Amino acid sequence: MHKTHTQSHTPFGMWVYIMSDCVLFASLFAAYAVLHTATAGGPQAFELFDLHFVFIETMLLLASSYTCGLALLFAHEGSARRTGIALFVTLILGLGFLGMELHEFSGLLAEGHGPAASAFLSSFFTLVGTHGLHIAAGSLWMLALFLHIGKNGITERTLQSIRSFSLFWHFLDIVWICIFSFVYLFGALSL
Amino acid sequence: MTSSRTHTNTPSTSFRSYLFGFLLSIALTIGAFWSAEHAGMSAVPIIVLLALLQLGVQLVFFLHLGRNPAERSNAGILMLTSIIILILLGGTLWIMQNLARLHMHEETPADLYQGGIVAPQNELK
Repeated sequence: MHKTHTQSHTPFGMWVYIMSDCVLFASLFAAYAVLHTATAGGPQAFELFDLHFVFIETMLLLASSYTCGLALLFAHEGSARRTGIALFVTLILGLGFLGMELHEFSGLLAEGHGPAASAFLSSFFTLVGTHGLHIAAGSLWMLALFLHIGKNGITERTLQSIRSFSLFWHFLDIVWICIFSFVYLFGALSL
Repeated sequence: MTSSRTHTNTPSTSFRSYLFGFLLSIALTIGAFWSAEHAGMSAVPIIVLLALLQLGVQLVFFLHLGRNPAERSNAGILMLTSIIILILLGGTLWIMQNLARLHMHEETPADLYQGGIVAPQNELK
């Protein structure tokens, strides 16, 4: 059968896109690594970051990665309703993460630690903000998936979309692991 | 649907492997945050190690890398991308640290030059 050819493979084009996005994030990480000590006399990382807050953000994103994986498994079983529910939970968790990130950013901006304050803050906002933009784009994608599944149910095409989406979402989780380890935790150790 | 049949795992083991990966990454995350707060400077290698472990966990349990022989090309691309990232990160840090070193010190670049001396007949007059 010709269907079995594309089955359960990660879509190749999506994978290539993810890899190029990896290089984008690597460049932003490199910029942050070079600039994180350039605080222009302003506050350093350990004075600005709240690890408990970041921990909850991380848990939200990890849980959303898990429910996104569940959505893919339910889609493989052909259950549109369960897939929808799992995607909905993923969306809520993702939006929760995004809300917390925006709250953190607005707090920093309100205290005058905006991206223009120092090279450290510029690179910080660029790196973490780019990740946040990806999460926002992923949330929009989930809305599109809802419409898609609601209209057509679980077909080979929707399954392919869900596969691509879950790849994207897991990738964002992986980028966040690097962010919390090397930006927030290293920052708290004032490295 | 024939999709689950071509999977190497039955659905129930997939569910279990996702849950296992999820619990494992929660444990690794808690470990990383805990060591950052309590282990002082010795937390640095721990955090790096836990981050690498977590990357591995996510690649194996969530992205199922390497399980499916048809996905070997993906693993190959991942490897090449990792090499590019290593060159990008390592090269950036190397160059920028050199630059910072040359700018910080009073010495001129000529004092820092560690190569051989210029042959007398080639020296600038």
